[in-house]
Formats: sequence, C-alpha cells, structure tokens
Amino acid sequence: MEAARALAEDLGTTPNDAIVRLAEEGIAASEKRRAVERLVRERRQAALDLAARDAPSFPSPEEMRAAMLSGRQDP
Amino acid sequence: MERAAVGEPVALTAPGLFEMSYGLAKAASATGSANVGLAWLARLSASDLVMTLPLDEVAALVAGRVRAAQPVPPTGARRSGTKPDQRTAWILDIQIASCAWAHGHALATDNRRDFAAIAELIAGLYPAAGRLEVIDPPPV
Repeated sequence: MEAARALAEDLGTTPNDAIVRLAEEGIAASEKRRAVERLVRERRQAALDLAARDAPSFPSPEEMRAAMLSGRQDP
Repeated sequence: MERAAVGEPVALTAPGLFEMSYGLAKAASATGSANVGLAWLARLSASDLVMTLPLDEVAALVAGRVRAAQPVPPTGARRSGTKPDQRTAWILDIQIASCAWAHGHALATDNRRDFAAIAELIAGLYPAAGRLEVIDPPPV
C-alpha cells in the first residue's frame, strides 16, 4: 500500500487508481517475461534438437580432433 | 539507463564483457596507470544494474554453426584494423549475437550492418525460432 500511496502522490490520483496502474504494469512485465521465457525455450529446442536429429552415430576421435582444430586453421 | 531507472537490468553478453575487460586492461597496461576502468567494470558487472548472458551450450552451438556458414566478415564494408583483427572481431560479434539470440534478447549496437548479417544467418539456420532483433543503441 505504501507503493500505491507514493505513486498516487506522484500521479496526482487516488490510491485506488494507483493500485490499478501498478497491477497493469505488473501484468505487462509478467507477460513480457513469459514471452521471453517462451522464446528461449523455443530457441533452445531448435538448437539442441538439431543435434539429436542429425547424429545417427558419434564422430570418431579423429573427426573430433579435426573439428576442434579446424577453427584455428582457417585461412 | 532507462531500464536501470525502473529497476530492470541491462543485459550484457559474456563475450561483450570479455571485449570490454580486454580493452580496459590493455589501455591500463599501455599507459601504466591503475586499472580504474577495469575495477569499475568489475563492480558494474557484479551489480544489479546489469545481468550477464552466458555463452551457454545453446549460444555456443549456434555460434559455431554461424561461423561455419560465414567464416570471415562479409565483404563490401570498409573495415579498420588488420585482417586478423577483423577476423577476431567477426568471431566475437558472432558470439555476442548468438548469446543475445539464445537468451531471447534484442541486440543494441552501432554496428547494425554486421549484426544484421549475423541475424540473417541465424534466421537461415533456425527459421522457426524467431529472428534476432538488432536495434540502435539508446542515445547517450
């Protein structure tokens, strides 16, 4: 209630209106956070699913060694 | 600063933090001065004003695929620095963009051209997972 009273003073409105304003801001922030979380889950799934789908067998030790060094040997 | 004012931290990527740390440490080393800038950066990165987005498994996998798709910076733009410098900057930019994308953040940058190219590459690799938004930095 202290936050509502302070906001009401700042806005020149009633504490009830300030509570509504705080609730709306809270909902908007929560929806934004949920949207970002959903995006992160989708992107994580996209990035990691590919690895599972395209990996019928493990690379050999030689293939892994070559892969690890390839970034350091590009022209 | 607007975000900080409303208690919302500004997101930095781990590779971006690495770049800043390197630049400040190098400057201090060159002048022989105390590492005031680096101390400030350390305090800032540990504060509630910023959050650091890690180069996690998703970002690293994405960055590797982007680099394989475009190993060197795109041609057509005038660039400063030697070719190895340009190559290093390109790899860091790929890591920064991949971090932002993996953590669901937009990316604010002065270098719209290169980051737009990276956003295009990521979109080509993961067409169903949403495009990295590249925006101008807020005015200082």
